[in-house]
Amino acid sequence: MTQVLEAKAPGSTHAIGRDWVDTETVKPCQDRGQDNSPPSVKRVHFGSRSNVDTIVWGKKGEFTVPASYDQDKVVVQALGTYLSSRLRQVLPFIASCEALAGTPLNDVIKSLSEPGISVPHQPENRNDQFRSKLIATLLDESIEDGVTHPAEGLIDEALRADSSDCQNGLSRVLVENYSTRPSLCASIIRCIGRLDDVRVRGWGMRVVDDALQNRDAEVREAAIRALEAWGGSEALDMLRRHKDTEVWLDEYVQQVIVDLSGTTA
Amino acid sequence: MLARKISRAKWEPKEYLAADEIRADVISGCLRTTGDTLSWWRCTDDEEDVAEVALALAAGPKFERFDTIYVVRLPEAVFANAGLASESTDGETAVKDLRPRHMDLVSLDVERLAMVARILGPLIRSGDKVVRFTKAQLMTIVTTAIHEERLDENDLTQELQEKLAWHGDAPPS
Repeated sequence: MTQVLEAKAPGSTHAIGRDWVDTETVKPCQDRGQDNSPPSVKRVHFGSRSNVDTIVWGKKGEFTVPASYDQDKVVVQALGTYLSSRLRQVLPFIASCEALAGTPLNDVIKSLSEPGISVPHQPENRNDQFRSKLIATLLDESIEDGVTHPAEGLIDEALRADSSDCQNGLSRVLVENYSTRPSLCASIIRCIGRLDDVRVRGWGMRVVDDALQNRDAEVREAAIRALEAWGGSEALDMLRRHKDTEVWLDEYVQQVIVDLSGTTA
Repeated sequence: MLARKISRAKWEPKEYLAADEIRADVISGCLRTTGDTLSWWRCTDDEEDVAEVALALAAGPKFERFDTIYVVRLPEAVFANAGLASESTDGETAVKDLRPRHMDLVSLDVERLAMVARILGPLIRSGDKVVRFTKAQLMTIVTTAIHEERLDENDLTQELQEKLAWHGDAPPS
């Protein structure tokens, strides 16, 4: 999922993880009034190697998602011929971008389609509240080996209420924070790894598989711990394929392979 | 020697810190004090004796699940030479014969705790003085102690008892 990332200065490029944003002429929207004066062209490039989101502003605040893209760069054109009042209120947020750091573009778009303007950071539904509470709980208290963490209960409760919704929420928190808050992601993966593998089968394995490729050792360790806890042939295969760059982690992987080989037929 | 459970990953260098600098997260996540004291267990330099520390920890009042743990050990004199005060206290563990092995670093303030972190940092990162006990190894250590009647299973936390029951509490091979 492409996110609106930090863009401080026109012409600057920020590479954050696999996502990037390149601003050309972004500036806070000027209230152009009702005079039909010539539009100022605003272009913002949002990109991701794996996924793209595009927003195109046309007259009267129309927008389309997704739109065309050039190679793996997405050209977002904000044509300010006549911005609706709602767009005029939102565009400064988009232009400054800092207010939206970490907010998926889809949320920005969603806010445009609803009556009135709300700052996208504010929780809007049960999933938002779950994610906010989860993050607060994990930041409040770090995970200790051998000790149950309150966040496990939160995730368990959310999974029982709506498994798919919970998994989507967790995936989203991970995607949004892998680059900037790897310790938080490691904590989430540790909580996921402590869940019964039957509850998270398939989805959990994909999360862990992705985490094993993370450049942060804490995230990779959390993934290895999850595989160790779940066990089974799939976990064993995943561990056998993994070659960690950190010696202490690679030794850990090798020991877990030995441990699991004794219990996996 | 003294030994203590650590969160190994918290000690990894970070790109936003110099190579020899230590994350502040180790203070909250790895060197958590209670009453300005920091808990340690005595052992020898022999890894088998470090396993006794792992047993003491697993049989502690907070241990609710079998997770892989890392234990760092270092000569007791290191702390004394650094001017850190210590007191022998009974350890909180269900393994009675291990309780006298416990000691606390006492009267710690922020500076002294940072000193502990700076002492431990190079030891942990080099890996020489860190012993890992995986989930399976920890279970074996605990079940062995139960079968040797050093530990009463009923003295473990309820959660740990349930996990042992789930895994059949098989005698170690």
